[in-house]
Amino acid sequence: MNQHTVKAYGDELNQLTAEVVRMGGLAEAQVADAIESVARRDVALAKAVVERDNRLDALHRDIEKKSIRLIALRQPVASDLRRTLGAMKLASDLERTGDLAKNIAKRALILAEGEPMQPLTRSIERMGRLVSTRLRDVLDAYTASEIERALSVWSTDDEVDEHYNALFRELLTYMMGDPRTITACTHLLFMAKNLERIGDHATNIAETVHYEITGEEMLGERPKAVPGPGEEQTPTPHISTQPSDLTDD
Amino acid sequence: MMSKIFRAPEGLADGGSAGAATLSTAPAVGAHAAAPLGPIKIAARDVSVFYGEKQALFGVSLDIPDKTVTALIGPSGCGKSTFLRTMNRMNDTIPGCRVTGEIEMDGGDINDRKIDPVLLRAQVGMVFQKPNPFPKTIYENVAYGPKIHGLASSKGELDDIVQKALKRAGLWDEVADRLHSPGTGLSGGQQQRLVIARAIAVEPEVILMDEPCSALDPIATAKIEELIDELRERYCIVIVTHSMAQAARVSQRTAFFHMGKLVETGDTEEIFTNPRERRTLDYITGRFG
Amino acid sequence: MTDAAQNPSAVSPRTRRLQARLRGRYARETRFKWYGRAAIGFALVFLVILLGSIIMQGRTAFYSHSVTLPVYMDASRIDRSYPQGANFEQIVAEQQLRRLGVEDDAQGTKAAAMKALFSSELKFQAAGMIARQPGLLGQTVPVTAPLSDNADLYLKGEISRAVPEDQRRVSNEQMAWLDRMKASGAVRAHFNTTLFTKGDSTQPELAGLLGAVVGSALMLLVTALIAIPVGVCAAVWLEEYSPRNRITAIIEVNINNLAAVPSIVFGLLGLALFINFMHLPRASPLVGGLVLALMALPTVIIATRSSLKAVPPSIREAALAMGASRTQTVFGHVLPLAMPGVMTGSIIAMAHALGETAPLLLIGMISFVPGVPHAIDEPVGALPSLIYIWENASERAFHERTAAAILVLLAFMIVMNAAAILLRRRFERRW
Repeated sequence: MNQHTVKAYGDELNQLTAEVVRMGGLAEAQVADAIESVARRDVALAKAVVERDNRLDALHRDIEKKSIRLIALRQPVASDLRRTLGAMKLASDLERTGDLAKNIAKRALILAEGEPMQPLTRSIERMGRLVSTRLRDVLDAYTASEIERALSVWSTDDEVDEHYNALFRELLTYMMGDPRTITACTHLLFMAKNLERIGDHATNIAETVHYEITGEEMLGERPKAVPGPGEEQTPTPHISTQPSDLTDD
Repeated sequence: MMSKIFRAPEGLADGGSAGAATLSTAPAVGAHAAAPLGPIKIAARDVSVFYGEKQALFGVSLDIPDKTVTALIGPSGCGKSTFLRTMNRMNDTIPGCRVTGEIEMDGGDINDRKIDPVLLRAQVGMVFQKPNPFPKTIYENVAYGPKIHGLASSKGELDDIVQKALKRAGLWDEVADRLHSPGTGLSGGQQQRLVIARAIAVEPEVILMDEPCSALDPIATAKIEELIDELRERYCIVIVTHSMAQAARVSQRTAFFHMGKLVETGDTEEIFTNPRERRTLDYITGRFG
Repeated sequence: MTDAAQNPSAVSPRTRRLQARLRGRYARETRFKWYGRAAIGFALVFLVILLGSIIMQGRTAFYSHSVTLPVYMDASRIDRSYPQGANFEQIVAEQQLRRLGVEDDAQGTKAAAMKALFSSELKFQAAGMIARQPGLLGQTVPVTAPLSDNADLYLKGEISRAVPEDQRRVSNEQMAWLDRMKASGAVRAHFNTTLFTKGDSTQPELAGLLGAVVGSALMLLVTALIAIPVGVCAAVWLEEYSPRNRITAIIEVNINNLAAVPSIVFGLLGLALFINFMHLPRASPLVGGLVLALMALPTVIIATRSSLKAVPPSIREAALAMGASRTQTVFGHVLPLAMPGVMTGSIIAMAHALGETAPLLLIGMISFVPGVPHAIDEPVGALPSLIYIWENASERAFHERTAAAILVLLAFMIVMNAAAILLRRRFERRW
C-alpha cells in the first residue's frame, strides 16, 4: 500500500486508528472486569470499573475531535473518508459499551451486599464471556482489517440472543420460585440486558468494519433468535435495499 | 493489506474498454439521489492519438452523456487534455498529430476526414485554461461566432444573441453599460465568463472546458462552477480539471486517466467514495508517487 | 551590517568573508557600469564628430547669394522676337562695369571677369522677362539672379586672399567688385531655396535636390508597393500555412541569408535581369524600385514572421475553437495584432532601401539627370547616387552641397526610423 504523498496526512489517519484500538482495548477490559466483579463479588474491581468509565468518555470526545479536524483540513475521500467515519462510529459504539459495562459493575456492587447466587451468576458469567469474546474478535478484526472475522461475528449475533433468552427464562423461574430473590434477580436481568446490548454493539462494529474495508454496506437482516413469549424484540437498525453483494477474495 | 479486499477488476485492467460499456443507471442510495443522466451525446470508441511517433492516448473508449458534466481527471501528462481536444478536432491544428478510432456524435463519426472541423467547432465549443478574449470589444467578442457562421440576419438579431449569451453566462449585469469597451479590460473571472458567453453564443451542443478555473481566484472559481451547474441543464459539458475537489463538486460523471489510458469511469459519487481500481484510489487519496 | 560597524569583534568570520565578497561584487558592478558608460560615450563621440563635420561642411550650402542689378534693356542689342539670342551676359557685365566705374580693355577681359561673377541663369531671367513683356524693351528693369558658384564661395569665406592669386578661382579684382556690390546691397544672402526647388545641374549654384528627392520617392513608392505586400504574404504563408518540412526549411535558410547579401549583388541582378533581359528603361524608378524591393524583401519577411510568431497562440486557438477557418484566423486576428511589428519592419526596410547606393549605380543612376522627374519609366536620379555624383564633381561649390545632401538624406532616415519607433510604442501590448 502506497504512502500518502503528504506524510502528515497518513500519520494523522494512523493515529486516529490507533486511538480507536486503544479505546477498544479499554472497553474490552471494562466488560471483562465487570463480568469478573459479578462472578467473584469483587467490590474493589467493580468500583474501579465505574471510575475508569470517564477515561472512555474522554477518548470518545478526543476521537470525535480528531475526526472532525481530519475531515475539515484534509477533505478525505474514498478509503480515507470511510476510515475516518468508521473511527467516529466505532468510538460511539465503544463509549456506549463502556457505559453498559459501568452499569453492570454498579449492579454488581449492589449484588455483592446480598447473598451469593451461584448458578445465576455463573450463567451471567458464561453469557458475559461470550459477549466479551465477540467484542475482542470484532476489535481484532478492526485492528487487522480482517473482513472474515468481522463477518463471523456479525453472523453469530443470534448466539447472544439465545443466551439472553435462556437467562431470561431461568431468572423468571427463580423469581417465581422464591420471591425473596426478586430484587437480586431483577438486577441480574438488567445485567443480562446490558450484555445483550453490548453484543449488539459488537455487531454494529462488525458492520462498520465491513463498510470501511469494502465500501459497501452490509445487507440483509441480522440473524436474530426468535424471542420467547413476552420477550421484547430488539429492532435491527441497518437495512439496505440493494441485493446482497458479499464476496470475499 | 487492503489489496486482498479489493474486488478483482473483471476485465478493467486493460484500460477501461469494458468500463465504458456499462453506464450506471441504478438510482443512488439514500437521500442524495443524483439527477438522472441524459442519453449518450458523444461515444468515443478505441481512440488513440499519436504525436509523430509518440503515442499519447491508447485506445480510449468513453461515453459522454448529454445534459451532464463529465470530469476528466488524472495526473499531468496523462492524456486528458489530448482526449478533450479530439472532441472538437483541435488536434488537427497540431502538425504531425494523428487520431485513430471513432468518435460518434449525433449518429456520425466526427473523426472522419470528410467532416469539416470548422462546422464541428460551431457545435462543440471550447473554453481554455487562460482566459483568451479577443482584443476587441465585449460585444464583438460575443458576436464573433454568430457573425462568421452567419447566424444573425440583422443587427437587431445579433444584439439579441449577444444579450442572451451574456445573460446566460451571468455577465450581462456587469457589462451591459460597457459593451463597447475592450474585452481585455475585464478581471480574470469576468474574462473567463466572457469566453464562455462567446462559446455559447453560437448555441453549441457540447461545451469542452480545459481547466477553466486554474488561473482564477476562489471566488471567481465558485462563480464559474455555479455557471457550469446552470449550463448543464442545456448543454453537454466535459471539463478537464487538476483539482479533484472541483471534479467532485461540479461533475456527475468522472473518468480517471493515467499514462494515456482510461483507467476507470463512473458516477462521481462512486468514484470518490469507493472506486474500483487501485490506481484511481491512490490518485484521489493522494498516494501517487 | 550596522552591527559590524559598531562592534567589529562581534562579527563572525563567515560574515566577514561575506562582506568582503560583497564589496568585491559591488566594485565589479560599479566598474561594469563605467565600462558601459565609456562605451556609449565612445560611440557618442564618434557620432558627434561625424555629424559635426558634416554639419560644419554643409551648413553653408543652405544659404546663397543673389545679385539684383538694374539692367537697361538695350533695344539695339535685343531682338524683340528672339530675346534669347541677345548676349545678355555681355550687356549686364558692361553695364555693371560702368556702374562700378571700371574701364575695360580692348579684349574685354574685365567684362569677362565680371561675367564670371554671375550665374548663367541671369541671361535666362532677362530673356524670360523680355519674352513675357516685350514692352520692357528700352527700359531699365531690375533683374535678379544667383551669383556664380565661385563668387558665392568667396562671399561665404571659402576662398581666401592668403592663397596666391593664380591658384585661386577668384581674382583680387573680382573680390573687390564683390565686396562693393555686397556693401551697396546689390548682393544679398538668403536661404538657398534652389537647393530644394530645383533639379540637378552642372552649375553648382543652380543645382538642387528636388529631382533626386522625387526620384528617390518614386523609387521608394515602387519598392513599397512591391516589397510590402509580397513580403507580408510570403511571411504569412511561411508562418501559418506551410508544412514544416525540408523544403520550407531550405526556403527559410535562404531568406535569412539573402538579408545579408551585399547590395551590389542585387544591383548586378537588376542589371542583368531587368535591364538586359527584360529591357526595362535604364535608371528608371521602376527598375530601381524593383531592385530595392528585392533587397528589402528578406527584411520585410523576417520582421513579419517574427511579429506573427509573437502573437500568442491562445488567440489563434480561441479563434479556431470558435469555428473560424485558418484564413479567417490569420487575417482577422493574427495579422491585425502583428501589424505594429509588420509596420515597424517595413519602415525600417524602406529606410535602408532609401540609403542604398551600390545597386543604383549599377543600374545606371550614376549619370547626370537634370530637372524633376514625373514618371516611373524615365531615367531619374536618387539621393544616394546624387551624393556620389556631387562628391566626384570638380567644382568646389559641390563640396558643401554634398554635405547638405547627406544631411537631407540623414534627416529622411531619422524621420522614418522615428516614425517606426513611434508606431511601435503606440501599438505595443494591445492584448
